[in-house]
Amino acid sequence: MKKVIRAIVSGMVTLSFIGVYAVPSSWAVTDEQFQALQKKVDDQNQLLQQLLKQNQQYQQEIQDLKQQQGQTEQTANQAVQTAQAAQAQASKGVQPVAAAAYNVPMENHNFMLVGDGEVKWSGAGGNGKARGSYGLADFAPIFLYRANDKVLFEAGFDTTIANSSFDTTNSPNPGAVKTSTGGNQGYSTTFNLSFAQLDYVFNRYITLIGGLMVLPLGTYSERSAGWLNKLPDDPMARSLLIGSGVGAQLRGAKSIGDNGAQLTYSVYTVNGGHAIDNTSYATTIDSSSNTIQNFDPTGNVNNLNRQPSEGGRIGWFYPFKPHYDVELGLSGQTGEWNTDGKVWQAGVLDAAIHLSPYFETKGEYIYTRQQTIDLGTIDPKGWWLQSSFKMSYFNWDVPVIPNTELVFRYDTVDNDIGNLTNSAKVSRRFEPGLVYYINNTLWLKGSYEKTFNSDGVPSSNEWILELSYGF
Amino acid sequence: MKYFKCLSICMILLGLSVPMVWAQAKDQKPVKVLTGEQLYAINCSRCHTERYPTERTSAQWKTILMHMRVRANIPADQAKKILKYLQENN
Repeated sequence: MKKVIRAIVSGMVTLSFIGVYAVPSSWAVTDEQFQALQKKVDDQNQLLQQLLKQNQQYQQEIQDLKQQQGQTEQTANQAVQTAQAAQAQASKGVQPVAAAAYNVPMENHNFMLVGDGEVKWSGAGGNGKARGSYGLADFAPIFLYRANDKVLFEAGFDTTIANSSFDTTNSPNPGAVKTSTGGNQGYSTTFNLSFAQLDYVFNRYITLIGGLMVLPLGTYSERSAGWLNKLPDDPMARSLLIGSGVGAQLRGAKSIGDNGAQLTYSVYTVNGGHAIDNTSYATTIDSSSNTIQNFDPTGNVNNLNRQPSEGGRIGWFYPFKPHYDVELGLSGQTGEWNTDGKVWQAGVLDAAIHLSPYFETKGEYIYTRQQTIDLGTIDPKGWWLQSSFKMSYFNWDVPVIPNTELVFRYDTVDNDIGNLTNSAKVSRRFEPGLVYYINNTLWLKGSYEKTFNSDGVPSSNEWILELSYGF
Repeated sequence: MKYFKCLSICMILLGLSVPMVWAQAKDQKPVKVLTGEQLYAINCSRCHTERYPTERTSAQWKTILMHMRVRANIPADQAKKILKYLQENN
């Protein structure tokens, strides 16, 4: 054991010598090197201090940013809370304004002016040379105002200037003719409200109408008057009917099948016609001592009788294809026409046929029944039938003729009273005419009327030219 | 008396026109769905000359169709198709 310890000690001493004398001289550190190394250490310490200081600045900036972010979030949260509070308040009582109110397109409502105008020249013949004159200038505008998809207001006016009828009844000189001496003795100007109605489209099948309405007694008043009429004047029998009335109406239509066929209806109540002199006599005397019919179909604004009148129309329309169709209609009205409780009734059967774009036939049969105090129950009645044919059917390459349409109408009326001052008991009229289409809205119409009267009343004839424009 | 002969001729012509319409109908193929243009020709030309779609703006046609739907008693579905045709071609 001692040998081992001794060997270890000897080895360690040996190694010590080796360590002292065997290390190379290059391993020794000089003072310069030491100082240089010391300087580097000092520089690194200084750099480290700068980095630490910069780090502290960054930390400070981060803290500042975090603080600002917190303030921004707080502001945003306050704004959200304010908006939620306002919304909650609005939902309690104040309704928000609809954005659509500021964005209503103009096409949702509209105001329009349509209508027609006419200038008429007539030459009346009788027992002597015919006298010709410009007899009428007519301007008939229709104002349309569509408030929305369900409400439409429409009003039609009729402004006319016409020659006054020659009145020699009170002249001391038989055969004298009153002429214009100034003022308005030679002509008359009228401004009438033809209709003024409010239409409310209740649904697809029902439209409610109120106001002064054109009445659906037959189809002539609603579809053929004015510019739509191919002859310059009206059928005589239409004078038996009431053209318009103040009241209310329900009307509508329904398609039958897929070919365009229709079933239409109208029911209405209006004030109705009335007696001119408030009596129940069949005739009366006007201010010029003329004997005229006492029933006034035009002055029906006021309810001068005890009860309103009721009426309606039902129609059936069947097209086989465009321009080939048949239409039938039945209409009527009943009601008191004076304060005695006397009744006036009317029934109208109307029909129309189209056979191509070139040929048309239509007409009406009009029957009225009137209770009077002097003649009992009378039955004024009449009918008219009109056919027309467009010359463009022949496709001739000539001027004028292709734009021409030939028209013929026969009409008759029987007042069932007797001869009156300006009309016979029965009149029959033949009226050939033509229409020249300058374009689709400007027409030149002409006709020749030959009227035959009953009971010795002389016949008459008249030429009529009319320029008509629809707009 | 000769006028009654004229009247009789008119009545006969009118009476003959009815079977002519029926004869025309037999020649026609059944139409499933009518276009707005066809309905325009069917409904409007029976009372007046046809107006060109370019004569009015879309808003004006809307007002006029509402007026004519009431005046001529045109069914709502047909008036809607006619309006669409006029507005698409004005």
